[in-house]
Amino acid sequence: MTKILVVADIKQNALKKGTLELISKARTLSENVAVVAIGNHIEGLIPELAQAGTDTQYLANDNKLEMFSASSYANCVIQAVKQYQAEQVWFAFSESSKATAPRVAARFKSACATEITDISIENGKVIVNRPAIAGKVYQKIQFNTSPAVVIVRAGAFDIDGEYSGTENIHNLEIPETDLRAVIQKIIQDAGEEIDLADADIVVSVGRGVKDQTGVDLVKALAKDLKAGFGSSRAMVDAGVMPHNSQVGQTGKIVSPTLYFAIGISGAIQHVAGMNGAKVIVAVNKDSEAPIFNVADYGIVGDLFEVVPILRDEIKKVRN
Amino acid sequence: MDFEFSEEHLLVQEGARDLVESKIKPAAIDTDKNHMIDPTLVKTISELGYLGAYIPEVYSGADLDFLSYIIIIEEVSKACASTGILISAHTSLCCNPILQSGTETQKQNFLPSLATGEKIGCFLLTEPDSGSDAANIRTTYVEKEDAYILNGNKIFVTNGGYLGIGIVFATRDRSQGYKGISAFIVDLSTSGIEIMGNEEKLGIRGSYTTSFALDNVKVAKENLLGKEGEGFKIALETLNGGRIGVAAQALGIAEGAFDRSRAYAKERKQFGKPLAAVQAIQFKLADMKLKIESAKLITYKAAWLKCQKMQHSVESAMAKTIASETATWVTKEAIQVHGGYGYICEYEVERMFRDAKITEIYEGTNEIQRIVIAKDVLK
Amino acid sequence: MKILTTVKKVVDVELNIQVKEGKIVQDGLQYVMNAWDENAVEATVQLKENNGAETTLVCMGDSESTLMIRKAYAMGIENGIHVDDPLLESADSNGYAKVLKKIYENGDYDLIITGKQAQDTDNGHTGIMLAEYLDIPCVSNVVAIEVVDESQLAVSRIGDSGTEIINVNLPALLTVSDSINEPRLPALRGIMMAKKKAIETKTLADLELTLEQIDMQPVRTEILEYQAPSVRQAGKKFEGDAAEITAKVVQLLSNEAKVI
Repeated sequence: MTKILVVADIKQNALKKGTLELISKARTLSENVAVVAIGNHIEGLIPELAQAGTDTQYLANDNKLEMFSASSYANCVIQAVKQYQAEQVWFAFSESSKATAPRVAARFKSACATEITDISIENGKVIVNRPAIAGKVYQKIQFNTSPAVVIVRAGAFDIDGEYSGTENIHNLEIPETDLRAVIQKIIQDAGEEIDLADADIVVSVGRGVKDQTGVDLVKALAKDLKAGFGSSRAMVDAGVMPHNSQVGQTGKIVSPTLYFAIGISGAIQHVAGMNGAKVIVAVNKDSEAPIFNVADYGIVGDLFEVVPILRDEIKKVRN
Repeated sequence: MDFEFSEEHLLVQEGARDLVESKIKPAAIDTDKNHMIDPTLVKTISELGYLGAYIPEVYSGADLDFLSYIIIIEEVSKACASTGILISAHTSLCCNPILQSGTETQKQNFLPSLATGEKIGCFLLTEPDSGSDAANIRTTYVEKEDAYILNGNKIFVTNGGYLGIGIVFATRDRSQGYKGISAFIVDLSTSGIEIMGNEEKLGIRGSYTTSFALDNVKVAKENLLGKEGEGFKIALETLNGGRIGVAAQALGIAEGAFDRSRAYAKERKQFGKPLAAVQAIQFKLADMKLKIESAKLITYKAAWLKCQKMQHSVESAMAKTIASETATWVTKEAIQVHGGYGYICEYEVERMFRDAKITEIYEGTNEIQRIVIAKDVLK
Repeated sequence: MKILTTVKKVVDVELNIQVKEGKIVQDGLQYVMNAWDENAVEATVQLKENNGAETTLVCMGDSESTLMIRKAYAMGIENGIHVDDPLLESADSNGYAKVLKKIYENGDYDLIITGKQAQDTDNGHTGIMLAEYLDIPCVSNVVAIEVVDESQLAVSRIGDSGTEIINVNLPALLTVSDSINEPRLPALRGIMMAKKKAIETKTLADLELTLEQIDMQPVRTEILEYQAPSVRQAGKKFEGDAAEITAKVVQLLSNEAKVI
């Protein structure tokens, strides 16, 4: 039976929900699922990782791993792959995964597939599906080499079924810090409290909100809903919204249950980042804006008028 | 025979498209509404060398060929005909006659500032009483000491408002008819030149069209373009080449309207299906494409002939006529495809409809073009 | 500083792309320079202008790829290498990375700059794999580059928890985000000069590379087929009184979609 290694997605010492989705999906393919957890002060995550359905937990827990370094992280994953003799390595989608996974694939003279939406085994070969060309096509790809390294698109898999595992911890060697590329500091992006990739509801703003006043107006809606607060490329370029809020082909791919596009025209690059949402609501004053072609519910109107009403009505319904 | 663009032409086309998509297209509605092209846009166009496309490198131009220039006019006019005519009138009607008939000193004196857009060029031929009948102009000149003194009125001067460099036509003696006409290169900031307003127009409203009164305007002798009495010939030759520019402009307008119509027909749903599924609309789109493709072939043929330095006056006349009539027809139908939305500014086809009409008129009306064509077929 | 910049010719993603019988319909496709690679070219030219650098561009692909190189010339790149070999047609990220490795080793480069991913595959593997094969430091998703001295850069990268400021020793590889700059529009005079400049064309044989050496034998991954994405249908669009239609939509979110 195929051996799958899941790379835990950890942020600020907490497990992101994508990890559990990956483990759950991996268990539908195999009983042999291991996890590798990399970071500092993360030993407390092991019980949860075992409980989710893994039989082996590789742990690299050291203050040298406090900050992300692609070479160190890749080194840890590579050790785990070797020890577990994994045939598949699954990452959850993140910037760190994008920087690490190709290195792991290269080291094993194998290949990598990014943002896969499905994975299966046919005739002993790993087959994945993934979008390409800004989501305009899907590719069905077969791996001929092992391990098959994949990065799974956020929200691709649900936590499905009851699995349990056993604690079986293996400590990895802590790699030396690569002094050739050293993080001096991290400037935390302000304001964003709920991670877009994790959020069940995402509210995003576009050019239509114009400036900070508009942003604040919509942010209040996001707060009400405990939603992730995203943005179109235009607002990031204008310096109004932080980089890590950008939803789209070049930013984050989100697939929440509910997505609000407020004042977003719906350029394909943006749509490519959110069309996996279950329900899309668009507010735009231009009735011909392309966002309405993908929205389940469209409100043609001035967002400055609509958003406060939206907040009131949602409050009414929720009470 | 080769219908493929060369690598150079593809590069020019892509460069022009980048400029159009990022700067010209987003400004097109405002250009029309404000009756002017934003000066920063004119500056960008100048800095990127679009006002000196086929001026030789020694005069600070980009040294591209005439075909490249035509590609630029077409691409720009797809998004904004006013910006198209800014470049086309400047290049065809001012830079070109200096290149063709100017002395080396004149080229050195005037072309660099034109190529870099420091000065915008224009063409002062038409008068209140002399339009198509260009031999009948009333603006006069006399020789006085080391200069010529010009007096008269000029109207419909495209780009006139920029007060850059003008090619001014005047007669020494009206009784000599076309033989009495001479051409002068005139800096329009010269004293005695009074500018009269920006014309309110049906279309190309972003084009800065003005009238001038010339009151004892002193022009240095060295700024006589060609020889005395050659003015009418220079005017005709200039308009011959200029017509290809107008054809390219008209072609661009038609293509712009077609692209929008096609996109709209695919997007807009009525009676539960896209407009594009309705045969009445399909036929409109097919007819648009038919006319555009014919106009394109003759326009590029005329441009190619000019590049080869072959006779092109008849082909220019045909290109201008076919392309301009295509533009007015296609833009009219484009509004129809858009229905009520087509009548609204935001959808831009109404502007294209207004912009298209002038291409049947300026740089020789289509009636004059037909005279040229008829004369040739009957010779 | 000697910079190697890589660009890829990709299908224009703004246009309609159709899939028929598992393959992309080639008819009517147009090709452009990968948008992120345009950012890479701009970043390179800015380094040249601000700090002085010798710039070389490499593009792999068919004969039309020379257009990408000429466009980069028009933007200010000095030298161009075109790797044109039909054997590369089905190359994957590994294959490209191995060819680029050879190009890098043939020059004496201090820095490689590439776009963070290609618009056609949306993978973002090649640059990172190349760095791995070369064993040089790599920073991905870069949004700013500053030269510290001849042997070090300070770069900013958007990571998962914010903007990371990283000091990186040369030689190094950077993959750039589209937020790093706005690529310049080429001036006409640049285009005119670009058409006159030479392009060095190489085949795999010229580079003394075999298919085994570039990981194309055996083939690591195969694209079995392409599929059209399931189309999201436009839903209900409401126009009219803001209070009325907003209330209506919230009701629908609650009762019909059951998401609130």
